[in-house]
Amino acid sequence: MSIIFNLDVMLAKRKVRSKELAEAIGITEQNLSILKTGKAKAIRIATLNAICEYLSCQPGDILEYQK
Amino acid sequence: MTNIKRVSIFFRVFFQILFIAIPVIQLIGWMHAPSPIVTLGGMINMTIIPNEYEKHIFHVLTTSEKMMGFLVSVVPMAIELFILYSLIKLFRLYEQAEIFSINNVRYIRNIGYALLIGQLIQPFYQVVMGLVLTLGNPVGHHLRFVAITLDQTNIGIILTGLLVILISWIMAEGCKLREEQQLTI
Repeated sequence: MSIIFNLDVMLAKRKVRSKELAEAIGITEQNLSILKTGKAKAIRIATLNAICEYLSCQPGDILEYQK
Repeated sequence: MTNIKRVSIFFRVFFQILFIAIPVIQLIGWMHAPSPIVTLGGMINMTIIPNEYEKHIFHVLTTSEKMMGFLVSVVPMAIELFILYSLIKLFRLYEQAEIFSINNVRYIRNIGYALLIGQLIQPFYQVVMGLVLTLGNPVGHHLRFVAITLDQTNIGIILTGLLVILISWIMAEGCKLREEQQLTI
């Protein structure tokens, strides 16, 4: 039971590179990597908002609950 | 941060000097026991054998008794050295700007437990030391001196040990908070 981050899938769909997204939303590539690998303990609403805005997607497109 | 680093270097070096000096002083002290070590024209006057034992020794200590005395004193000295070792490691971490890490917590907790253990073994140490130093007393002075004392210093050290353990728990919580903060993107 865990929340899975499908950020990689969304980045591939939108043909956006990690570095580009990191720069656009104002976080480091290292932090973006923490998000992608699922090591993050929490995500700020502001960060989620910025990702969704840049990738033109819904939070549900990048977050998934798996049993 | 630079202040913490600078002060940490000072303390680390100080503890390293003590780490080497303590066993050397103990060894030299026991070689000269029961006479005190007097250096720098009397400015430094150190007695290895505590006063409460010294007044009960009615014979010249033999080399084997001195050796035994030194070996017995190795037990509390080992705890002191362990505390110093933990402090050296702790301040080295501070030098490297590692303040809220699980390693810091481990060293702080070790110091707390070592302080408590040091006080727990103190009665046994006192009994054994008393016996080692007074067993060779001549006939008529066959006083087998056994002393178990608990003074303000002991209580102070026990309280300090408990406080240090409590601080290590608080530090552990601090580490969790820091980790959570670091992993909040």
